Amino acid sequence: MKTNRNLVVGAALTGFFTIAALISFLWVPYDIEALNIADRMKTPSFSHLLGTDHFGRDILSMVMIGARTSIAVALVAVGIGMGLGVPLGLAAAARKGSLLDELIGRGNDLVFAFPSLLIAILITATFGPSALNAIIAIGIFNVPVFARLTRGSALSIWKRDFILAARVSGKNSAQISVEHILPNLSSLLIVQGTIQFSLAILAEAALSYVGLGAQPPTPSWGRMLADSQTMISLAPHLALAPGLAIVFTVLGLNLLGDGFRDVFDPRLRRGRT
Amino acid sequence: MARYILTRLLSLLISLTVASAVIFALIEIIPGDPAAFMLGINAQDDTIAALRAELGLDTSPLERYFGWVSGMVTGDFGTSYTYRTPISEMIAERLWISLPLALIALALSTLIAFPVGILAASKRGSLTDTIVMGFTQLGVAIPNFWFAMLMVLVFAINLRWFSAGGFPGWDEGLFTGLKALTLPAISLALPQASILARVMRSALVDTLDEDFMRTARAKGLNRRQAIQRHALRNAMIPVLTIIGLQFSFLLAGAIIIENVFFLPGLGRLVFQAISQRDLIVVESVVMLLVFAVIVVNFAVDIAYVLVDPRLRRQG
Amino acid sequence: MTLLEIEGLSLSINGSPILKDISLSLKQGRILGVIGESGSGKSMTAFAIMQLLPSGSKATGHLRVLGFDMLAASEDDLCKMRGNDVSIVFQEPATALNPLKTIGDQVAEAILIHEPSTTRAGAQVRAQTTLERCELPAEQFPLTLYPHELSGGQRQRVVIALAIALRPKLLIADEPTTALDVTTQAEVLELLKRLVTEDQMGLMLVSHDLAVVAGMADDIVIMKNGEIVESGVATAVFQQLRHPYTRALYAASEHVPDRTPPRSTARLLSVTNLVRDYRLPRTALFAAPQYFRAVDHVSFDIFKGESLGLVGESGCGKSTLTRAILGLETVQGGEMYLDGMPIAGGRHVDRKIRRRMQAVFQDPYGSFNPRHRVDRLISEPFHLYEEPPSSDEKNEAVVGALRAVGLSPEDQFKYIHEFSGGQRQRIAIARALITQPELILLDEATSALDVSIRAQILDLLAELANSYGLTYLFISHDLSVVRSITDRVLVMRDGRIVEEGKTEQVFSAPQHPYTRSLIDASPVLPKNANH
Repeated sequence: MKTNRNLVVGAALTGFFTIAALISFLWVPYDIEALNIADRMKTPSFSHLLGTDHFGRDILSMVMIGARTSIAVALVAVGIGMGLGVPLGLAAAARKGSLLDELIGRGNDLVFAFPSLLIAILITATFGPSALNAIIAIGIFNVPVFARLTRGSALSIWKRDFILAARVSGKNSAQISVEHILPNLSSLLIVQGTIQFSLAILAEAALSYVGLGAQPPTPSWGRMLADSQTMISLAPHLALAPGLAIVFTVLGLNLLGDGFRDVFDPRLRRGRT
Repeated sequence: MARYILTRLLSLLISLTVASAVIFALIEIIPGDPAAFMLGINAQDDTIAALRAELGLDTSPLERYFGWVSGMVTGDFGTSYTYRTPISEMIAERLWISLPLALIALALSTLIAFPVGILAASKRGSLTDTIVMGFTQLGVAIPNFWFAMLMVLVFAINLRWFSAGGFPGWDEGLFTGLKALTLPAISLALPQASILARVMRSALVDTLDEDFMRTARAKGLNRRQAIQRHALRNAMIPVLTIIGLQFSFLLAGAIIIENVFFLPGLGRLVFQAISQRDLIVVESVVMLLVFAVIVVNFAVDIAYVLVDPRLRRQG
Repeated sequence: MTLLEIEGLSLSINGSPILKDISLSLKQGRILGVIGESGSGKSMTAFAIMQLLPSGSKATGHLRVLGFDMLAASEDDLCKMRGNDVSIVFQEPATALNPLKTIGDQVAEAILIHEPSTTRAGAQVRAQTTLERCELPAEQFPLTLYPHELSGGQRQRVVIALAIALRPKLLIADEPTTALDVTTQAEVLELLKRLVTEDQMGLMLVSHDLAVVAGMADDIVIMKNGEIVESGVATAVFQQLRHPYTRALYAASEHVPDRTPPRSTARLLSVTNLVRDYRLPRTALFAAPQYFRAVDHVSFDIFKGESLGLVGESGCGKSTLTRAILGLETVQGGEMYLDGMPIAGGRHVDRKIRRRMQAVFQDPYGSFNPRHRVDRLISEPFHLYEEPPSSDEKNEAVVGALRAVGLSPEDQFKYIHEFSGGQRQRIAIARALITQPELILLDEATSALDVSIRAQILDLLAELANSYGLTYLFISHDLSVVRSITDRVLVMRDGRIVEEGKTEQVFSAPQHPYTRSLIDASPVLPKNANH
């Protein structure tokens, strides 16, 4: 079945990079802090599976450690987005039409006007670039994404009769939001969370590429690409490894998200004529 | 309908005001003393004092804010600290590169995405659909700046069809200018087109399952006619939303792409300003970009009313 | 002329058999009624005739429309026939029309598709004429209107208009009035009858409602589980009731549960001058806010042990009234007392009062949180106790409630999707019983159920009332159901009670003209001499 394929391939790809990142805490093939000029710019071989860069550092090791940065930044950023966005969305739906709802809606619109890149620019202009600032920038942008999604779905759940039954049982909006609305949103949040995770990885790579993300000596895929740019005609392999790493991680997450969606979607779309 | 437009306009003005306040606060108030920041840790006290006087930092924040905003409204963005030129001139120069780039990319991505998405939706479940969706799945996973680097490698360095970067200026002719923007525009457009194509397909598939499509078939329309006359327009509503959102991503993408191709656009301006600690430039450019996004979203809201008659009644 | 001939039609969708060996025919100028409950295959038969089946469908047998073999026809030929020689009217007027196109465009499109040489203006004129035939006069209903500007009944008339625009010989109507109010239903059915005579069409009317079909059809076919169990001339079928299923359906449709009549004169619920206003969204920028009065000075009493009916069409305010009584709405005027104690509305929850009344709602598929198990679902009203009961007490109560509604104690460990519609309503009733309330409000509690299941649930409700001395407020738009289970009845219209009295009296001798129009519009099951 097509659905299981998405889930399996997605889980495999995502798992691969996550495990690589975790392993990197314990072991990497070569120490990347040591500069080994004699071995610089080597193409992939048995001793260096992905080759070496202009400082002689093993690219495979850098990709593994870079995985840490990308995954960590993306994870925390999406965590912030969900942690703040979902309660805001629930509150807005529970008090639909009220001042609170209006304010949250306006807040969402406002943040949406600032793509993470611009937020990162604003923060780093005065506080300097760092992985933390990248997390904040991407995290802030994720808040309205989850807030809007939660509010929209919560509103349609509020209309159902079982919510009326809960009100007859004397429960207030907060209790209903937590006991009834939130559990029924979980599938949607899992799917969207996976997708936002993949977008966050792309965002982190872009920020690192322009120098606004994790700073040296912490390796990150984006910066590896930036470094490789000037030498791309001499050593294209420098640009391929981190780029492909990004592509496959993001692809894996998107497939995982699609797989989740197929599993959770109760409406088996049988397609009309 | 008039009421709808008026409320959206009001919303636009409020957003602009709050956004400008946020930008102002983040740049000039929260970090502390802008003058000290701009000059660095080793600066002398009297140099700092002189800069403070020059920038008018001794007046209250509120006054400075209103000064800044009223300046922008009249086209005066202040003076760059590093280059000592009016920022509005610098922005205008750069805008002639960034704006065409973004618009060409937007047009390209839409032109590619719509037919592709419609094709996949009408042949839902077939091999064509699977292949198309496979390509777009790959397309959304590719970082646009990496794609740009690969394009440069293949088309500029190996094939020598295009130059690897730089912009000769519009004075050299429209064609030369466009040629320099081709690779950048394509690098921006293709990943974007992948996203749009998937959204188009999904919106259309949802519409195809609606009851009124069944009514259309019952009237005697064949599948193609039903899609063309009924499904497409209805599917446009969710697609419009995405286009609006995507514009902000497109702008961000354009800024980053300029780095790959060494284009002297707004991106280059703002990154240089960051490293030079030229806060005034950063402030103005960010404000301009946010303004663009808010205006585009306003345009999308107006487009909704034109497409969906149910919204006109609200007014 | 025989318009429709079906012989030995069998249909499977993705391997599952849906229709088995269906045979029926329809002649010009006659109305064929197809009766069946949900899952009987009646709608699929209609779709099969139009060849508008879902993907994965395989049909075998003979299906001829106007002599033309529909199963062997090419898609091009089918498109030529649809809307031109054979048309269909669907069930849901709310979603059958494209919300982004004017009604004029949608009707004209039907004409232009089949007669492309017509000018646009010409098609518009013919569209207007067709709409007028369907009782939508041009002055009130110009072609530039959008579907959302019309009511349900008006939209259904537009759907009928685009079906008959080209005067097809065969018209299929799949539950055309199920989503409509009873008075609108009567009008639309009359319209269909008139069009059949005027255009000398054949009409195939698909419905679950025996009374509706009895009032319209010349010939009848009764379906169950994809097969035809009985067919014949309508009057004969209703008189003879040969097949046991036909008999069961008939019995269920006119079923009156056994109830002991109430004897108490004590007031349980007392409502006086209740007013509920809603703020309307502003129409002009600086206009004063407008209000919509959903409940307009309503007063009535419910006596202990009785079953009081509340009938009205959609929008009359009965649901708002129900929610107000349950304390879920803020009221702008009037008072409510339960056994002498005041019922407050809005945020404040008076638990002592709330647990003495409970409710059962309409939608068996939306009444329960799909994530919770049945025991948790049934025991939710315990939230109204100041001190939550111990887990033993809770378990005992849950088991007791399940047994009382005819389910088994093991069912408490299942999830709601494992139950059918009728079983879910039983669980809903169990939930309503758990706090041992005195008053239960049933808001269209049987409206979404098949007629045979409905009879069982009505029996259960009557039995529970007898055993536990329950008092009911039974809200419904379905007059026949209200007549069978209530002692007194209130008739509501536009927020006001227009008539009140003993059920039998109000139904046999209605005083208010609105009540009279409601009763006249209700389809009546033909009396059977053998019953």
